[in-house]
Amino acid sequence: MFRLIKKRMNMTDLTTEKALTFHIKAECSRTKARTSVMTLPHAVVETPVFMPVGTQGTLKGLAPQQLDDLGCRLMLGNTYHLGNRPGDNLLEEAGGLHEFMKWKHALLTDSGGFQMVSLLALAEITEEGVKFQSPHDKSDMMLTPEKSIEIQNSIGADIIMALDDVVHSTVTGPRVEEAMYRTIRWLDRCLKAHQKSHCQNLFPIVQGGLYPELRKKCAEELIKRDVPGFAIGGLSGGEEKSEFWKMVTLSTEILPKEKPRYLMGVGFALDLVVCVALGCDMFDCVFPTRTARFGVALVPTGQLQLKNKTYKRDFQPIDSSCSCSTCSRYTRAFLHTIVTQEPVSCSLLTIHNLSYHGARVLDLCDYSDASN
Amino acid sequence: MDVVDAFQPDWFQALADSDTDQDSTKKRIRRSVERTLEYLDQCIKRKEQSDHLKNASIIGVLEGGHSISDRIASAKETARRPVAGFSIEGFHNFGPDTEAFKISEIEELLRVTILELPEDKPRFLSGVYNPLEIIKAVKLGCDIFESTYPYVVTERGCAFVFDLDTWENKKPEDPPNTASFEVSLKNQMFQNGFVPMLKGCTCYACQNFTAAYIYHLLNTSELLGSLLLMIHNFHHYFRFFEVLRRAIAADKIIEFEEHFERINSQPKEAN
Repeated sequence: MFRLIKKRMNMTDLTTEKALTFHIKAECSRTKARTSVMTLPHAVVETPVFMPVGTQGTLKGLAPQQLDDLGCRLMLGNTYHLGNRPGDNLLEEAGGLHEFMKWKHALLTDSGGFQMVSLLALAEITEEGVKFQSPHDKSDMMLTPEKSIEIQNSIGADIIMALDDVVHSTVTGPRVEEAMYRTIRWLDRCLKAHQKSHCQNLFPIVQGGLYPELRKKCAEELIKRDVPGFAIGGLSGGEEKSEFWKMVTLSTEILPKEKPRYLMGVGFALDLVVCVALGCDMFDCVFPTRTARFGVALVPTGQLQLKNKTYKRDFQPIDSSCSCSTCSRYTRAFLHTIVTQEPVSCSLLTIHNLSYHGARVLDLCDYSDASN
Repeated sequence: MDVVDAFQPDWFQALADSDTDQDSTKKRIRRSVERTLEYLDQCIKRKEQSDHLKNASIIGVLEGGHSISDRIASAKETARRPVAGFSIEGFHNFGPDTEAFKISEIEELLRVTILELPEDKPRFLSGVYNPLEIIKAVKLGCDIFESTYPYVVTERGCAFVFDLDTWENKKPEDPPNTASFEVSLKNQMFQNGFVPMLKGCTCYACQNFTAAYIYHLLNTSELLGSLLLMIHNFHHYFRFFEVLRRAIAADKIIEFEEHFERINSQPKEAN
């Protein structure tokens, strides 16, 4: 089997030979916010950063060039879906996901574990791993920590996630503690199975539900392992906001400052602002892209449901302060006629919503820089 | 005409009654010819009164179903009006069967129609036409076609693969490069096809992505799949017309037609 290994290293990396470097540029004097530069094999990424979710090896309706034009340098792929279709063997044969989808910047893959929460009815969790029933052909799929890492090694993302035992944030009782300890054991199995630490960065995930002692214990254990960055998981699942941010700040207190913190599944613009202030650097969420497909455009004052008759004669762009290609060409009135009807409307709104979300995050960077 | 006035187009077609096909009665056909001329006269009058349409060009629509005499009458009368071009309609009802429609079925009707038309005004023929049919229509004197064909091919997950580059150097006895005009990217044979859909194609899809990736996108119902196919199919279809124009100028339209006849007559594989 002919395997292509593509590695584009930044000049500084040649001296350190690390697959990830993280330099803090500025820190906020009043919050835990910071702006940094993270260097990965395929890209230099400024943080805080919002990562669009390209679940099946594509961002719905966008060509990679369009994502590039938006300034995106790091995006997500989903291991569970990609492991199914096109499959890790095929991706291996293709030379990795970068080559397959022609994305020249950085990729991050999750472990496939989140599907445990969303497809729980079909999943059985044991110490060995997670047994799924494939929703496509009903076949059995066993996802062990080793298998997750194996698939992620084949996909070839710059950042990969350890398989964690994630419970929904509203679950209470001993199950949460069980999951937390298992997550640590699975991390060690992942680290052992990982074949490409020279070009793929394995992040563990802090779990512990909404129990401060469990979160604390988990974080303290994770930082004992030699890893290039950390993720905070198991949140943004509908729990109370007052509980949510407490768990975030508790985690960032313990996680080392000099390594990136990835808050998984967050989120809405307000959540981004708060969690940057709490010391998080990386975010992902399907919200801006999913809502685009329902005809909703994100604006500073909230949302525009462009299907609404209000926009029939509205000849402004979605947002006159936005410089994305959609806002520089199209009016709300035009978009009103095509949303949820023509496939291209999905692309046009996705471009705007990602531009908006990215811009919001950049605003936070400016703020952090300024307040130093 | 209110709508046309609001749109402010460069060209517009006059309202017409083209609702005839090969089964229409003589009476129906005659009525469609008369009515279309009535509409045309009203549209011309309205155009002349409109500021927005002062510089717009009006296209007269030719009717006559499958009746030679009515076709001649419609063409003669329409050519007397101040129109900038002609759209030849009324042969079929543009439904899903249109793709199977053959120019040879209306060859004589087109011939007698175009005989009545001035040389210096374009002739539109709308409908779903593959390259071979286009060439046949062009040989009869048609000039302008539309792009439903690449669209329907994209909708079924197929990509154009007909050769446009080596036909001039081929001998009549050489087999063509492909057995059909298109291939289905949903076919599992493309699952690990780590090559472009069409070798040598300079479109964005073929320059950047492999057939394997497009297979994956179609297999997972991802929007990008049909986007890339559409880009490829338009690109190739427009290239076909470039090559066709060159072939006409080089007096090689017969050879070009034979090239497509050879592709068309290949035994078809299950797609």
